[in-house]
Amino acid sequence: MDYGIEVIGLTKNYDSFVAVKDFSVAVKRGEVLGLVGPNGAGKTTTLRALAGIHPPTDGTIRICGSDLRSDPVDAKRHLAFMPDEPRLFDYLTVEEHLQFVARLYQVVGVREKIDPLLHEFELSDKRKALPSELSRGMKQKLMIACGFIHDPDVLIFDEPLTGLDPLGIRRMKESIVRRSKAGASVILSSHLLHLVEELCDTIAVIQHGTRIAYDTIDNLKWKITSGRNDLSLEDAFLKITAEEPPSA
Amino acid sequence: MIGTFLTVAFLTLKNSLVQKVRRLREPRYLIGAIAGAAYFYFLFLRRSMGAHSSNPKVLMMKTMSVSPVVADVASVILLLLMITAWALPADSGGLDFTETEIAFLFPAPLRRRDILLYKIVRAQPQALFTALVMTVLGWWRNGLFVGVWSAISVLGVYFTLVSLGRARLRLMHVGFLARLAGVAVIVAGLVWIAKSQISTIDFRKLKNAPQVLNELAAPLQKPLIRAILFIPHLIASAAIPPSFGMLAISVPIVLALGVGFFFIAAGLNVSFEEASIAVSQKKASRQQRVKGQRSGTFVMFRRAPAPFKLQETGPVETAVIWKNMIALMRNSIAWVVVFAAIMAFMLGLSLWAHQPTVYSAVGTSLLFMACLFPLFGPNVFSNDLRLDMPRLEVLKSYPISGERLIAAEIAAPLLVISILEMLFATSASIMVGMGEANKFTRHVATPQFIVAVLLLTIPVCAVQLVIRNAIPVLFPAWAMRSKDEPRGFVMMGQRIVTLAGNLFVLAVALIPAAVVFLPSLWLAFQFFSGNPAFVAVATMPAVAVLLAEVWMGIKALGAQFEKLDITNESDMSAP
Repeated sequence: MDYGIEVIGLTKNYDSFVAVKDFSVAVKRGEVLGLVGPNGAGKTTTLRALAGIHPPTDGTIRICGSDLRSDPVDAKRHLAFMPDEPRLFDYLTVEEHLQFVARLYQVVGVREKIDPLLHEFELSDKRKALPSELSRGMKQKLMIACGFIHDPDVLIFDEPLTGLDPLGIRRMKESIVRRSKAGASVILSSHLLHLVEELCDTIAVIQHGTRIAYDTIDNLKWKITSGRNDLSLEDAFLKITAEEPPSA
Repeated sequence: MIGTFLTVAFLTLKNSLVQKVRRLREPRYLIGAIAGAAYFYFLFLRRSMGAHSSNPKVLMMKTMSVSPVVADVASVILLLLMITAWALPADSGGLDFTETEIAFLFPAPLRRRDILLYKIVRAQPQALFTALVMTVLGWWRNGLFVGVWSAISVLGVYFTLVSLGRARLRLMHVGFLARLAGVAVIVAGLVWIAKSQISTIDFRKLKNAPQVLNELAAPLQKPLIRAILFIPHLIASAAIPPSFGMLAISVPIVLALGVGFFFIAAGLNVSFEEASIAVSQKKASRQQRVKGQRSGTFVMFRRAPAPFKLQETGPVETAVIWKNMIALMRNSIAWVVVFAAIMAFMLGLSLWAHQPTVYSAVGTSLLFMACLFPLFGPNVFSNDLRLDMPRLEVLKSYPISGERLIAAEIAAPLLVISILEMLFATSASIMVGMGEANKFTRHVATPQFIVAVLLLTIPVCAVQLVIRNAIPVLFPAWAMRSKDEPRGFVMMGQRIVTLAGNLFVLAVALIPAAVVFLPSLWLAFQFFSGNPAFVAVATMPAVAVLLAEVWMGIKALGAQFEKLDITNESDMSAP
């Protein structure tokens, strides 16, 4: 099977605190995996480990076959990580951000890629703007555009829709779907369960650092809700994480 | 209502102190606090305590031994401040509230008078702290805590009243120019009265400064002047009481005066809410800018172009250098201009004077700068990993090894520092050569000297940059600025510790190079004196040692960067 992301037994400890414990998933090319869980469950820690930002305490992570621990540079060439908070360089313009990232990934024909990307993310008239001149949503779009510039095989999103307006959300969803259909493996973490339900093929539920469910969305709903088809993913999530839905 | 406000002020103060004490559990704050406290003690407190006697009776006598002239002079200054405050241009009536205060207080069912009262109560912890510091430090040696506090507080209320008063005058169509003219007339009148009183003094008969002071103070005792200075003199007498009796009298009166000011300010009924929001936003923006300027992240020249065109392919390090060069052009170019201007001024001065002594003096000054620049240059040009600390998460996700990233990060500042160092060394050498001829000149005014300086100083700068970039990699918590970063002596202590650590590591790093340099210099003198190879023989071994240290440092930092776990550090808020 051709996997973009393979995670086997990922464990991440902070001193005595176990943030993620024995977490395993595999994301095929063209597949979108949703990583969901309550606040503090270990989602961001997991995603950061997958992006090579912090070293795991134990376990194996392979990105397009390259081991992230033994060959981090090659593994990172295949991936793009979009954090929940846009971390931009204060002194680079929108266009310079794209040029900088493109050079890091050795993108050929960057000039031809920048214009469509800026158009896709509605940043065409902001190409000379500095981050301080952008709204929160625009910064988020730029961060994601930087991630897309090298056509990555693996996309890792941490709360990708934070700060976006309705049109931006729709465009972002379309972008994710389009890239997934083009063969990219996608992991996205979000609290917006309707988004996960809409975009993802599979879902991994994490709680207290442990994977408590991992299946296709339909199977998971079927299992958790005992075959009832009138319940949503949200109902299934609340049930699996033992949270009672608030009474209406 | 005042009870609620006092409770809020007390709880805010208490929580702030508890948070500061709790923070000391983290080593970086504890070490910073110890270093800051030691600095504070040795620089101010010990001197202040030495100035005072430990004997309470002597202390009391010294405290109360102030001449009344001091309070008189202070009252004149206060009067001028209190009058000229009416001539300030701001007339929106905006008061200084935090964004949180605005969010909670302005929509609350409170009268304007209550909000004003809150502002005054909220200012008290700060006033108390200032009074305490002044009393402890002995800067206000002749005052007592309660007197200093009452003076500060009442002045705060007065200036709030003036701020609202200016807004009220604007509503009455009395604009800035009219106020300015009014204040000018009042000040002119006061100057005329003062002059008429002083003109009776025959300064030719006065022998020394105390006599002059006493003669100048005499008119202040006249009834007309006493009447004019009545209010400022009361406030000054509370802060700098000539006697306990005066303190006991002035403090209650001053506090009553403060209450009066408050009721007048409240009675003005100026709509300050909207203007206060604008003031708050302006203040937040200014603080952000200052913070950015201090941390080197403030983009000063937004439209400065990239220094070169970035090609699509090639070494990835070039992209990092390109990025940092842009940062340098937009954030730190002012420093380059300052250094270039200093150099141009000195060179212009010497060429204009056209004197050998001036050439020598300027040459020596430039040489001095060339020697010092490797020490402070890497601090001024911090367009490297230090600047990228808030973006470590993103940097770590890029396909570049830690070693190559560290090397690329320090390359841009090293390039600029090297160019400036070359300019300093070259111009120093030329100027010294044009100056008076002596033994010193013969050595300095040579191309070999310039080459030797550059060969030695550039690796030293590189060592410095490696050390400075080691801090965010080895001790990221020290380099990252948390959202609630410490201020005051904890921050000062952290800076002292960082500077001391930097100097210590630099000294240690220079020892091997110095050990190698001395025998190689001896060898060069013995066998290559007068030979063009002299410089190479004398300096190259030391340079090789320094470069090896830089290389090892980059390798070690690169490996550490790969292992760096930023998640459990403090929040990475952008500075």
